[in-house]
Amino acid sequence: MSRIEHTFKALDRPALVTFITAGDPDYAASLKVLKALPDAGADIVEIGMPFTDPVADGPVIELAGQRALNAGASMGQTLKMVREFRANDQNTPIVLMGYMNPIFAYGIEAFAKDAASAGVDGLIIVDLPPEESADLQKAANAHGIDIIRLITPTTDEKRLKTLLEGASGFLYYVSITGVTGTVSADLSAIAPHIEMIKTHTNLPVAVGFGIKTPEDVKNMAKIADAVVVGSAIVQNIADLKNSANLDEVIAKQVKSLSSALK
Amino acid sequence: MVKNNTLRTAPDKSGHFGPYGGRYVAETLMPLILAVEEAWNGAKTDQGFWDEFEGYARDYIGRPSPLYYADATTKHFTNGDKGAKIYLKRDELNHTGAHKINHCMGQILLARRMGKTRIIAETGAGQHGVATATVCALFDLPCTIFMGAKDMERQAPNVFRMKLLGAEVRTVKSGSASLKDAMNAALRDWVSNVHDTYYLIGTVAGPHPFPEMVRDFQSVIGKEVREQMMQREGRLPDTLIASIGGGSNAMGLFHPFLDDESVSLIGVEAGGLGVDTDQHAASLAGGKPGILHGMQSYFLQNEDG
Repeated sequence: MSRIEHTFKALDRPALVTFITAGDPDYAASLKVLKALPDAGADIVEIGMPFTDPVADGPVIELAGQRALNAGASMGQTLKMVREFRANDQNTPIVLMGYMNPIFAYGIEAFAKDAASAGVDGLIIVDLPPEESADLQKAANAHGIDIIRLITPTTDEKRLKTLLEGASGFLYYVSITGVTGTVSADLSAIAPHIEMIKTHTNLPVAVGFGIKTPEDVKNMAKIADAVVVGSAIVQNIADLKNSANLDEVIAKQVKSLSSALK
Repeated sequence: MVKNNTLRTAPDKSGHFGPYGGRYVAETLMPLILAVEEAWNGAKTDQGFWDEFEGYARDYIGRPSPLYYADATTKHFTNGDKGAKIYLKRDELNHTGAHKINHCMGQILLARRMGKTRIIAETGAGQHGVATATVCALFDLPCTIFMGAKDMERQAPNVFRMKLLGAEVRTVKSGSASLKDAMNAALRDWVSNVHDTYYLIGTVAGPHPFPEMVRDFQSVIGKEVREQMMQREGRLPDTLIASIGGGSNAMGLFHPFLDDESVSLIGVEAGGLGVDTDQHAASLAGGKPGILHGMQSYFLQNEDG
């Protein structure tokens, strides 16, 4: 059983997924934050792979990528960070999220191999629709990595069937038509859509984009198997980037998000 | 005549030109991009659509643009029995002063056919922004243009023209605050406004079907050159030379000649301080394959992309 599958099976409540950008504000601080997340209540950790042109992200995540890149982030550094985390944590699933170009530059097969050996469990590539994903899908699956597909408010039933082919791990429901960290989703608008999705698949459905507070988390947990918080955490990292106890402050934030699920 | 094994039949059904092109976009946009493709496939095989395009090309854009025999330039470059007769295709005499109006007219007719009620576009120097603002004014559609802060400073008269035409010009400060970031901002806007908005892309870039569509609208340039050369010289030209930024004018000129082995095609990229330095804009000569703005193509990038 994969770590992702095991995590969802073991929980009797929706999972909390937290997002940080690798190497933000710098490698050492970012690794410290990453290591603090599971104990604070993150059930799954998403790590953003820094990219210069993140077109599906709002300004908060874009700036995080720039901070990381300015501090020397690279794909090699991101994988190194996962490896260092894995040395002390064998259970928490790690999902890398980002864009295709840095993977393409690294080499698709080399990336899948190195990511798997570092301890990556899943990939969310936001600019890679199923139509373009054959090569990465093949490489990732050969190394036991899940391709996590994005489903959006614009996904109809026909498109959903295309998206579900080859999907594994869980599904990521983008709750708004927009970029990360901007408006919040309207629960009543997305609930029927998620119900429709669940009639077509047994995969867990995580909901993300625009979820910021413990109250948002509590609301989304009513309809989702997992709730993703990203920009709210990354904004906190931006505000406190020079603070020596950054990891403690983020841990506190994640604790309050996670207590909304208990 | 289209030959077997010709480059003119590209892209394939999935929008690839060999490994290049494709559709690398957020899933939120995919249904809309598939809808644009469906509308375009319907339009391009509909004679009524092309009649409408040609009507506006003639009466509004002012096509065909002249093919001018540049006598002084020809003499300047003639050395004894060496040299060439040089003709200039005068697409700067189009309404709005550039070739950009060709694909703007074609795309806005498509947007109207799709029932879209809002237009967005990116612009670098401002020519595409001005042309987009112009066709939006013609058809009374609200228009938002994304432009890098640095470009707005450099090209203030074009910003003024766009505003005069009723467009909203949004300053893009993120990244390098130039064309690449303006396109990022436009893509972000499109993801946020999928229901009513058409993204009028300004060059042979972006996800399929945009490169094919822009090429086909711009091909009016090459088709005219072919006809005009036959009238003037009774034969095809030996060489076609075009500047390449994004590639829209070059593709428009070259495409109708791709199967003519006797015609050599030369694209000229901006050399800056030289292609062996990091201060140039020659993505084909000095770049490498990558994925950006919805497509696989050649980009200037570092080893991490």
